[in-house]
Amino acid sequence: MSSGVLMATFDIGRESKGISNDKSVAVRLAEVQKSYVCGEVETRVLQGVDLDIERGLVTVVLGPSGSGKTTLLNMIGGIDRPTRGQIFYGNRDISAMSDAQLTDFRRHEVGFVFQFYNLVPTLTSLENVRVATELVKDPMDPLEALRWVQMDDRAGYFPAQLSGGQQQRVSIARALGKKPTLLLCDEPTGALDAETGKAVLKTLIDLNKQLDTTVVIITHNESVARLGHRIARLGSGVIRSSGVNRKRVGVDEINW
Amino acid sequence: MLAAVVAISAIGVGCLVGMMGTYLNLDRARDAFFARCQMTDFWVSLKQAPEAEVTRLGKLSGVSRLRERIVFPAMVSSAGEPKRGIDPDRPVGALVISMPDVRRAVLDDITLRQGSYFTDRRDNEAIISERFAAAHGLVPGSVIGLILGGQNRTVHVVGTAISAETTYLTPPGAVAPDPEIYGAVWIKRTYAEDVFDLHGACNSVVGSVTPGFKADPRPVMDTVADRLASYGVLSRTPIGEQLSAMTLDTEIGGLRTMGGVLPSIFLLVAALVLNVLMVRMSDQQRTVIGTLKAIGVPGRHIFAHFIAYGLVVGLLGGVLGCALGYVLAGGMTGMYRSFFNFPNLINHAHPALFTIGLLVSTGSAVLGTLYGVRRVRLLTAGEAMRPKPPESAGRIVLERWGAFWKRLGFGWQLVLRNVFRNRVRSAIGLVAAGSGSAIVFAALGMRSSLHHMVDFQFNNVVKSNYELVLHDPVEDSAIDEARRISGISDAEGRLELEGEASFGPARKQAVISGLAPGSVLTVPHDAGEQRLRIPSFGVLMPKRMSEQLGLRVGDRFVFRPSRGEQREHSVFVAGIADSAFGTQTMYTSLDFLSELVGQHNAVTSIQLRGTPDRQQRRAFFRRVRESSEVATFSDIGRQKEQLNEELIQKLGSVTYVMIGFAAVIFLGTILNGALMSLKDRRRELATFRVLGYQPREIGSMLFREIILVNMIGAALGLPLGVALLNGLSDQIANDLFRMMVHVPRINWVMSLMLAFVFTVLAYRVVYALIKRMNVLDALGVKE
Repeated sequence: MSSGVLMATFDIGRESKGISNDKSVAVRLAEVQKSYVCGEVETRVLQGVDLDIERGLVTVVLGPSGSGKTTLLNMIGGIDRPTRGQIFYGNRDISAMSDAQLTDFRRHEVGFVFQFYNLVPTLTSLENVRVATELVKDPMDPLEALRWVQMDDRAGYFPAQLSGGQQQRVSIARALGKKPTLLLCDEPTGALDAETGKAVLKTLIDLNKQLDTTVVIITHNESVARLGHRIARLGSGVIRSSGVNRKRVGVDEINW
Repeated sequence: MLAAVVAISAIGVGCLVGMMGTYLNLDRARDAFFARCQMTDFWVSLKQAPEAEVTRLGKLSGVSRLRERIVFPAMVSSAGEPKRGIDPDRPVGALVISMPDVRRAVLDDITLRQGSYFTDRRDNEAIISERFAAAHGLVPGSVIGLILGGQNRTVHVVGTAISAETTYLTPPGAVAPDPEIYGAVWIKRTYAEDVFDLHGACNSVVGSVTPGFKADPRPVMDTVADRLASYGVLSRTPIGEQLSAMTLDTEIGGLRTMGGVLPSIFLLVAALVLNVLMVRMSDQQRTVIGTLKAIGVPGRHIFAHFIAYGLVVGLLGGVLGCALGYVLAGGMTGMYRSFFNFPNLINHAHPALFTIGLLVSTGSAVLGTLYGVRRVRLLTAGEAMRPKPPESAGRIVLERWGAFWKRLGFGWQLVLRNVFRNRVRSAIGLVAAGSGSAIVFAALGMRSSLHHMVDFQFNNVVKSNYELVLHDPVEDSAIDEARRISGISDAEGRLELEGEASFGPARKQAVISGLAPGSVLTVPHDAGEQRLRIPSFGVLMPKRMSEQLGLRVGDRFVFRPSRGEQREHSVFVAGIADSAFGTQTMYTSLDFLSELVGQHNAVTSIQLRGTPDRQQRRAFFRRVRESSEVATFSDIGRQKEQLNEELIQKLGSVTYVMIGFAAVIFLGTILNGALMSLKDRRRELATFRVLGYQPREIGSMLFREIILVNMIGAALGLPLGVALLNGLSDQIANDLFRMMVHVPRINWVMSLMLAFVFTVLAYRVVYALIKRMNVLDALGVKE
């Protein structure tokens, strides 16, 4: 799908800056810039991103490789800091938080799903989920989390004994075990075939629907983008377009 | 990680080069000095024998050369100006030895250090030992007073010298040289004949043996002594029992053994760590190797690259180790220089040793590398280009005990999984921690044993302040006289009988000391520090002697006195006494010994307890200095002081060096293990950080792993430490003293505590790295 077609289908509005008073906004990025210095070379990855991520919705950040979407996700999740600009989670400025505060923020609010799962190879599925649930006071029961992703029958399996899709589902269970308010998914289907990928996406959409978790998915796959309530298109470090996806489809309707 | 391997390797080589270098320095200097002085193979002391008779014995089979001479202990009535802080009235003794009037090479010769040999200007010229001269400010031209032949005589110092047989010259009853109160004085033979009234006679025969008897000169010595028996043989001393030779042998033997044991421990740990490192490195380079293979780089070139890497690591450790060892050998040789006055005891560079050090270091590094990279070499290019498959996961053995496993808690389950899954790394951790704690334990044990040895001897056994050994036996009424001396509060007499103890083929020079009933100034104790009753029948035998002769309580052995009626006596072992010093002295009751030798109401030495009054003490000292009856004087307090200064402080510094080395083993291996673990689990730990684990929580997991492995290893190392300490004690024991192994409970605790401290120190570095870990790099989620 071309960007022109997407533009036509999105409601594009300018994002407001500063602390969000709008309770529907979970995360607000205000003129976020990020550059990396490697030797004498400075690479500007994000060049002033303004973006609102609405609470309880699935937001898909779409962009080609090298567009800055992973960096954007890392900063929303508090594992990286902007060079300039601010990021608010509710009314908390996470860009001004200390390392310890950021860790605490990730601990209680954020669930991460990585492209390559990042499961601990020496732990079973159940234990991988427990690694996360041990961190919070009122977690989901680890087995319940596995049941959510239909992996409860593989609770005693080690990652090496699972397929890629199964590992990704365990990694989703690990993320949701903490009952996060914000689930950040970095190319969750990037390493999977279409069928397995769709099963994983279905899990994420169900999770959003049933637990009301705010989900951010970053992808280069335009088909995947069609699942989002909102779509933000990122290119060369800036948001090219952002808006409501009026032609949202179900997982069964997408293909790649 | 590499720095830690290089450090461990360097310390291993450093120990090897340092200890073996000191050994070679000492051995070389000893051999050269002994050869230069023509150190003899045996000594026979006599009452009096005609010179001509000794000359005839020179033709006996096995005898290479014989020399007859006159040797007497003497009190020094005046000896220059003592150094500041030394009581000028403190009795000073000397061993007076005759030398030819005209310079010629003789057995047990001297090496002049200052001044000249005897001249023909005066009869009463003397050459004095170098350190004695230095301690008393004496130089050629000085005059000293000696009690010779019962008279106070003046001798003129013409030179200072050193000699092989007086290398380790200790005051009577002491175990360390003390030149402030004891030295050697060489006088002209003719003068000695005059003052001791021994014209044409001698009281000491020294001899060297033909090469066939060098290993054991006893048979030749015995033949010579037996032929002189009618002249009253007092003692026979083969070179192996001569104080200077024996002390040097013990030291050199100990160095040789330790020079083998300690470096072996370090090099073993270094080789193991290096091995794991190389396996890890080859794993990391797997895809690079695969790509190189795929583009056609021959396997042997890739292999050579890794071997070169191991070679560089080994060489680096070896070169640093050689440098460290050279410095260490310099320090240790310097320490020995203060014990033994050799002319050429200097630190040499030993190229052969450096070569061995480099070979050992590079050899262990290359072997580790070979083992590590051989796996990669076997892979095809295609296989190697793919990342290493994930570790095979499975349950560990502890999980079989379900109830136990569940009770552990999640944190400990994670820790135990990692410990059990990385078996090789954990095993190396155990070996390293065990080695480290064994070294710490042995070092601490050595220190406490030395302290205990001094305390045991001076708090339990020897309770007198002074001991006087007399030229001739005196009636025991002299004890009452001694008690009346101003400055003396108590006195006890002892009858001492030198001789040879034998049991089966084993024999030993020994002394039986007869103590007064209810003696309070000499109190034998057993190993459990319990006071032993002086037996009225039989003897209390020192532990070391009982072990050497193979005797137990209740056994009988043969004792042949070297003076008086020299008939053999069958003597009963009534008990075993523990003793750190004077390990050749047996105790019995005065009455029993008097009966045995048929010499009643006589004593040969007197123990005295002094009063604290300074003036009275000085008066007593003056009286001793001028006495013609006193052969030797021992100041017990001074002996204790000297031991603390010389032995314990110097050996104490060795303790710190050993603990320092152990720290390197701990820190080196823990850091290596932890850094490898951090690298291997980088992605996993970064995931934990992303999940919301604080660095201290991740650190706590790693800390639990490190502390678990290292504390178990340290605990397992303690029995090894006991063995090491016992080995050390055996190694440094001789007839002069024996290190009584004494390990207070605190040592066990201290060893584990030090292991804990080293572990925590290493962990601090690991924690700093966790805090600095770049999560984005580790996860590979950087744009």
